[in-house]
Amino acid sequence: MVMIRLHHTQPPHPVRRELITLREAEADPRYGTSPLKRSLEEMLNYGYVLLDKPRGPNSHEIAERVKRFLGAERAGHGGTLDLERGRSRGIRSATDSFGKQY
Amino acid sequence: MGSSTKASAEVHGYPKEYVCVMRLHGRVSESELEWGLTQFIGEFYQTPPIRANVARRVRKRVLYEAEVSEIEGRDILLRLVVSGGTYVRKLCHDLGVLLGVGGHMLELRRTRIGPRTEKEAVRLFELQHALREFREKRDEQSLRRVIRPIEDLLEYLPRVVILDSAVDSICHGAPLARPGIAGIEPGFQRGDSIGIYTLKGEIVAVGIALKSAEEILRGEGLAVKTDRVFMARGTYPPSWGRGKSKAS
Repeated sequence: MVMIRLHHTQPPHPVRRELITLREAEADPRYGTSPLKRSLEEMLNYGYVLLDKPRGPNSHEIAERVKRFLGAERAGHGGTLDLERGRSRGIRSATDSFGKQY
Repeated sequence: MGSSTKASAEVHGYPKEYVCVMRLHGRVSESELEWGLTQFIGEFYQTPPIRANVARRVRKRVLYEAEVSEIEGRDILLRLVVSGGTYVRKLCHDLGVLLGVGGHMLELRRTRIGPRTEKEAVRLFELQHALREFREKRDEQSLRRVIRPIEDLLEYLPRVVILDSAVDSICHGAPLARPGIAGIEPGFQRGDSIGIYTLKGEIVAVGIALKSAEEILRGEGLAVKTDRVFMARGTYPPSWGRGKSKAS
């Protein structure tokens, strides 16, 4: 049931255009990793979690909880996540930003 | 997490979609409500709420879409698409003031943020479950579904793909010059935020275009100023400052 629907403009949406090649080049397999082939350790450093925040606890509390989960992961995985140095900001912003619910 | 925290500036600026319940403090007809929302559609001005942790000056925001999907007495179910940095609670309050009866926001749920939607979101227990699978069974599969590559979040930025030999200098903060570019997505303007990618599709950094894509295609010299580096130094071999190295 829609009672009122108002449209202004579409929000800016990325228009993916074909890349124009300036120089033909091939990736050197010795360096770097394609985003979907990253090791778990790399994933933790170059990844995010799109979290459906439950009603109740605020984003900060959720972030603390996630940090605890992953903190244990860190301990079990050789110090990948550097939570103490404030790099956990991403976890917070991730929980803040996605599936937010008050 | 880790380096990916640097994407938060982009994420903050993305348009967002919300579903919210607003409570009016008095009777308002459907046509009055429509009139009220019409006043906000498009560009509107908003002062951040007192509690907000930002400078309290009037800011221009955009309401792209508004939809009233249910009215139950004085409670209204709204779907809103707004520009980044819009306070929906304040929007509800201001709408109430405009309608002359007052109003406030009861509930809010974010359903889309830039390129990502609610449908892709995982619940806390799914994250916990994925971690347990990994710890107990050494099974990475669920965890890989839950933790997504940061590149997914930066899809809104136009892309510039660079040569392997240019990667490490970008990681050290050097600007991107035309000879280091392998490919370019046309259409961006000077001053736009640009995603700088490797040939393998990894994000290296987010930069600011020093020229439009068309000018870069035509000309020489510096193309993109490196702004925020995601990739760790040394991921790719250095090929600068020491003449020709093996990698170049």
